[in-house]
Amino acid sequence: METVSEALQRTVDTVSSSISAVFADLEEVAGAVTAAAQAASGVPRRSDYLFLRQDLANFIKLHSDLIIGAGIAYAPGSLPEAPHWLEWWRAQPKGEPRFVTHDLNPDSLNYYDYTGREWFTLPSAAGHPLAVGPYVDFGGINVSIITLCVPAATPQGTHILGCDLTLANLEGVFLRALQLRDPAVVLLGPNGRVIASNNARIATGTLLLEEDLKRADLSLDVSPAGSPARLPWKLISLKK
Amino acid sequence: MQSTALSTRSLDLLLLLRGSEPEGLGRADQVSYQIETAILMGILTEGDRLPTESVLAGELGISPITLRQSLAALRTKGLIETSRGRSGGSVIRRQIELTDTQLQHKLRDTSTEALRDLGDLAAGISSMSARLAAGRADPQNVEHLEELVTRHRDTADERARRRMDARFHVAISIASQSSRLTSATLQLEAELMTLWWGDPGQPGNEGDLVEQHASIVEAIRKRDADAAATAAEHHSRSGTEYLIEQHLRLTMQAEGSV
Repeated sequence: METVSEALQRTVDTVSSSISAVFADLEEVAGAVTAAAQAASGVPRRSDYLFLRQDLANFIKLHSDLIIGAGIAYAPGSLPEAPHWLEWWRAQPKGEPRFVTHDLNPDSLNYYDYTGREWFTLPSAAGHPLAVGPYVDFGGINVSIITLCVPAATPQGTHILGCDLTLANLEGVFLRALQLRDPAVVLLGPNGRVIASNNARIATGTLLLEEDLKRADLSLDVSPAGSPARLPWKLISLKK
Repeated sequence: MQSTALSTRSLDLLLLLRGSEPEGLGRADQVSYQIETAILMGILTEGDRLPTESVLAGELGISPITLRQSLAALRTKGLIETSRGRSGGSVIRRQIELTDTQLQHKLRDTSTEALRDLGDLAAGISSMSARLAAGRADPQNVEHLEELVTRHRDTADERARRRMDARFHVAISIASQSSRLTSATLQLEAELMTLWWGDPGQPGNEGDLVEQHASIVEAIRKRDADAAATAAEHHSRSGTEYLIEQHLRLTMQAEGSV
């Protein structure tokens, strides 16, 4: 008979290795961005990063079981053509990913000021890959997501490569690994928000209540070995 | 072909279903979808005769040509039958019955987040409908609601009982005298109707459901708006929790079967 602790460990391992595989490929793309910036003569222009379209399209298709989109947000003022620039692609049911337009006009009601969004500021400040969220990306994709972010350092500033993980996809990974209805087990984000749980009362996207947190029994860090900071999630089982 | 003309009330409900269809459909497909949803919900039932093409096209705000395309699609699916002549027209031929497997797959593939989001909207709409109904329902409305509670309780067939449940909630929104709340309720109930509510092997929560319905109507009858809203919200939330519970179970089961 499997113990609760074994089921939790298996879930942590599965979730962590699924995410690590996505991070690893995105870091490769980020490496290419850094290399392109170094190879450019003078300040790189948008055209120096044209390869990203294909690289990210391949990346999105490869990980379509978990992610629904990916892109790059350039450091403000780093491109000669525009003060702010964001390129994002969304997976399509069939065919190539589609370019997502964001409203980058500061005077617009729908202005998408990515320089103020956590998925841009947190990894920029941290300087290492980081999972941000869950959060609802209004003006972006309008559903609750987690963004896996990888900074790409260049002489012009730090660009952020990111990919969007839906809670729906992550829930599937979590539940199939856990295979446990009792006790209640919660995958918790750094903002106290429930990423997934095996209990109908503790639903995805809500804040874990104080009274539930008091019942915490076992608690495991989800971070992959060797890089504790990039996946600041906890897997917690609750006492009755 | 045995048929009866569609009541004005059913036609009104059919028209209020507009907007429930998925994005990206052409106008003809939207109308077929609208009519299919009305059949699924039991607003249109076997033997109902649709108004003449020109009248129906006018009510739906589409051209007769577009309507003919919609009806042709429904005919291909065997949902309606059309005859020519003076007493002709299109008649609903059968009830749509989604299979258990279809309903279960849909519930399994709808994430907890999406179910919670749908449940949040449902709780908002149903509690406000009940609140307003408490202040606005006339004795006839209340009597109708009481009758639906009883009919829901006494319906043995699981699918038919589910349809009765949806009718009950639509009736509350009608009693609230708000056409927009009614439209929102219809669209919501139509979506809930495509999910799996059965749970063979477990006696289920039917008893709870009947009690919850009764307490909503009781509060409306007493014109106690707060109690009606609270009861409706509680009812809606426990329904959402039940769906998420089934979703979690089906997702974990999927591991073994895939």
